[in-house]
Amino acid sequence: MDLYNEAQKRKLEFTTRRHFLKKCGTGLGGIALASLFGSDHLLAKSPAQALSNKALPHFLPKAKRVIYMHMAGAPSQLELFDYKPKLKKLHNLDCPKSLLEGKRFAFIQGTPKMLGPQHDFKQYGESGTYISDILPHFSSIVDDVTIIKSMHTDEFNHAPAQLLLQTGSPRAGRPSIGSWVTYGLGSENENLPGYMVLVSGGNNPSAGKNAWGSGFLPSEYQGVQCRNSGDPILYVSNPDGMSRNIRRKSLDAINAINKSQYEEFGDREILSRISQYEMAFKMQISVPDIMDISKEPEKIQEMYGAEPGKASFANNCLLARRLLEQGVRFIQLYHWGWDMHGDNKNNSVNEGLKKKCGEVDQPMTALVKDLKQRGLLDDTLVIWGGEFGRTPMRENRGGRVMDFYGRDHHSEAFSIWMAGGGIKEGLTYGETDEIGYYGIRDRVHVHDLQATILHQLGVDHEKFTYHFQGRDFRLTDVHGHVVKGILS
Amino acid sequence: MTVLLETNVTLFFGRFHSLIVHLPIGFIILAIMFELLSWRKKADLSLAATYGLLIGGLFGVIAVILGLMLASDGGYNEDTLATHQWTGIATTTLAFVAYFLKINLKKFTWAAKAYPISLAVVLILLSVAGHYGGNLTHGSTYLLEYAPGPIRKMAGMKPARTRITALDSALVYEDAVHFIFETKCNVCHNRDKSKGELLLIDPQSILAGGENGAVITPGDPAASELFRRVTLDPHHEEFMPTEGRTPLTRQEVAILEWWITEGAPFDKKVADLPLSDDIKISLKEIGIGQEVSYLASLDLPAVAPETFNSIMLQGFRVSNITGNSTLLEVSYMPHNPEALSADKLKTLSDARENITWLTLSASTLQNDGLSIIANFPNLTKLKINGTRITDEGIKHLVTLDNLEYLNLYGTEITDESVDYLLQLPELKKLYVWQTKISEQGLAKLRDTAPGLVVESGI
Repeated sequence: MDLYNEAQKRKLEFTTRRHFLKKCGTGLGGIALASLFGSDHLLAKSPAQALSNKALPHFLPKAKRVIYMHMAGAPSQLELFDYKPKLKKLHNLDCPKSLLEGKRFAFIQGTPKMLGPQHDFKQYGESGTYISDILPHFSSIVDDVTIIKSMHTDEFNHAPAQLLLQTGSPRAGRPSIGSWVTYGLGSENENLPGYMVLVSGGNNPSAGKNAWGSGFLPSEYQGVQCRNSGDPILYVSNPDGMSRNIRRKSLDAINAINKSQYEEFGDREILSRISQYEMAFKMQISVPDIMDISKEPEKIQEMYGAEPGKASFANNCLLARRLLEQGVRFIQLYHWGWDMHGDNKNNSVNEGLKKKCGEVDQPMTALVKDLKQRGLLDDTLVIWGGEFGRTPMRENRGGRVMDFYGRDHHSEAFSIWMAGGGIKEGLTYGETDEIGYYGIRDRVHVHDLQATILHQLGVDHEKFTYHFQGRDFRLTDVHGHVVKGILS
Repeated sequence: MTVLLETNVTLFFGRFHSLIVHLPIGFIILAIMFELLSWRKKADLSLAATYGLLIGGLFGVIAVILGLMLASDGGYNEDTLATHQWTGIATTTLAFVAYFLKINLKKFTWAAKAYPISLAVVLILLSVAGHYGGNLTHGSTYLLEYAPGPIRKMAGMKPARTRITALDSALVYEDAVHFIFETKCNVCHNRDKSKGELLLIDPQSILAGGENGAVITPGDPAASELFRRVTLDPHHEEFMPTEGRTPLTRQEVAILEWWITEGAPFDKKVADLPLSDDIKISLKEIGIGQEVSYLASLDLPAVAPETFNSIMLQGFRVSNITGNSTLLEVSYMPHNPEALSADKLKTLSDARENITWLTLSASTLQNDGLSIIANFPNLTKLKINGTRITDEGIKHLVTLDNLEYLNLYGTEITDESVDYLLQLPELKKLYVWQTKISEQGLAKLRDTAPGLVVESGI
């Protein structure tokens, strides 16, 4: 086959039945409209401009940036924030039938025993907030944060619950909240991605990279994940013999080819590719300096408990602060390994949970304090929490008594904390019943939390939509109420 | 048949009045318009006008019958009802008269003169009947509620009271409770249409109650009929507002509960009653206590696109603080390849009134730059941490009368700056970690300006 025919054939392969039918319907009207509007109005703008929503923010934002610390696996609220002395008294008694009827649990079978709090609580700060003994650092900042004790969700398995929390839907395919935010508000620093993700604890969260995926939004809005040890971003420096000038020229050539491909096929993802190449080029200048936490003074490194070169939540917290300082819009820190079922010592709510808390307590506290002294906490929204809570009952996997104390997944009640970005200081919001099973006052659904995060960024979650497959999509779908009670 | 006996058939059909009544209105007006067209343009619409009048009249009869059925329910102002009823009947009758004249135009010579007159009278009667019908449904103040002052005055209405929305001066009845009644209840409980013989238009009528007696028991929401009705299950037949009208919001119910609990006062200010945080949030939802910030009170013309572009060309990031604001947020990010010079800052002067948030953190800003920034009258937030400024520079900033947030951490400023900083009247947050301000300096700042939060690190 000669070259011409091959090119023709290739072109035809790209024309599907759907293209044909669509062209029949809209072709003529399209020709008329094109002459009215001017032909290549879309291409005249850069990808970011073409989609940036000029109406945003809808109102004055309290927060300019967000850092979401997601404790993948779901920490136990009953050992950390939600103090239940009554549950202590019920320890080892059979769980009443009324709490089990019509409920599904991930592992609990038959009649489990109640499990009292495995750590002691004390009151801290002027607010007199109860905090567990295994969070000794965090107890020093209770007067800076709001603890929500009445969170609830719809899902009791990790992956769907993480997706519901981060994307508003328990199934894969929706954009994550960070994608929505950077799509709507853009980045404050054009030399860095607007949405960055750091993972620690040994594993990715169960929901995988969907948790920071861009769904149906253009893929340049997906979270950029940094490596957790060694160079955070690979191949950021030019190889020998490649000068910045040559890099620029080769990029120009590649972009020209990509642009002509876009003109031919109109695939929006080609524009994303162009802007991602450009972003990588800009990052070559900024990234090596910003990503190097060893440049921080020793005192600050000690404050976080960071050790440059190691993979840890502490390093990620310190790195996150440097990124926030540079105007990165949305940062997610995932820390894996909170799923304390009690099937071994490291997975017990006494030993295992204490160890896990030791990994995050100092750095997360340092992050809040450090943001505060730099004047960044005012306009940075900090959120910490898991994807659901844990049962007041002791897990009895397979109907047997397990070797260690553990708790099963629980969707009805869990605790998170928030700070900065226009959130009240020293507040405990919501209340659960005597054993921490249900929220009984000011319940906050995951969609309410999402609505509140967008609200603090100046975005009305009901107005912020993206048209896809014939309908407008929202982060909160048709749900969500802004939790006004926690706003300062 | 028994099915019909179980319900109030009269009312069942009566409710269709407001549906059917628009048909005769439409047909009669259409007939008159056709008549005008055929007269001016010689268009052949004469026959259409004839049928228009006939059909309009026939539907008019149905509307009148349904209307009488609806009126049997009572609860309407008698004077208004009588006017509406008789003008409605007259309109229908006259529509037939006009029809009769029209088909006999050739028979009687006087009919040609009487016909246009009859049409004019029908139109006038129709308007009067329609207007009073509207008053019966929506209340007599509905039509001109949002009319400009002079028109309200002409109509003999008292000038609209400007609702007070400041938390410390708003009146609990006038601005909160009355506002809720007006928006949710008084469509049916007004002078023209006091359903259940209840009016909720002023203190006297509220205290007078309705056909079942008092509706408010001061101090006891649970015993108050009004409160019981609005908090019932929405499917309950006694739930208010009825007929699918918009129910009260959670916040509105909370305000009524709070007002009744506090003795249902009519003359007190909101601030005279105990205010919990929840009530404050609820009041905000109906517009009371929403703080209007300094920024929201500014109404500045937008910066010219050329100015916008020239600022961006200097390496600044510029954006509107919200989608519909003309105020600007400007930043000069670190890692900008060019140093931040005083010349660059001068380009900002063209937008000096619009710039309200300015971030120059970790830039090469020096004292001379601050003398330019000192002329930005609406600056509320300034981040100049990690720059090379000194006390000399801070001296310039004392002109910033609206500055609320100032970040100076990591600079070389000393106690000398303290006096300058204390001259900033609106300053609420100050960041001086890693500066040379001493403990005494900090103490002076904190003691002299108790409303100021000074963050000096850990």
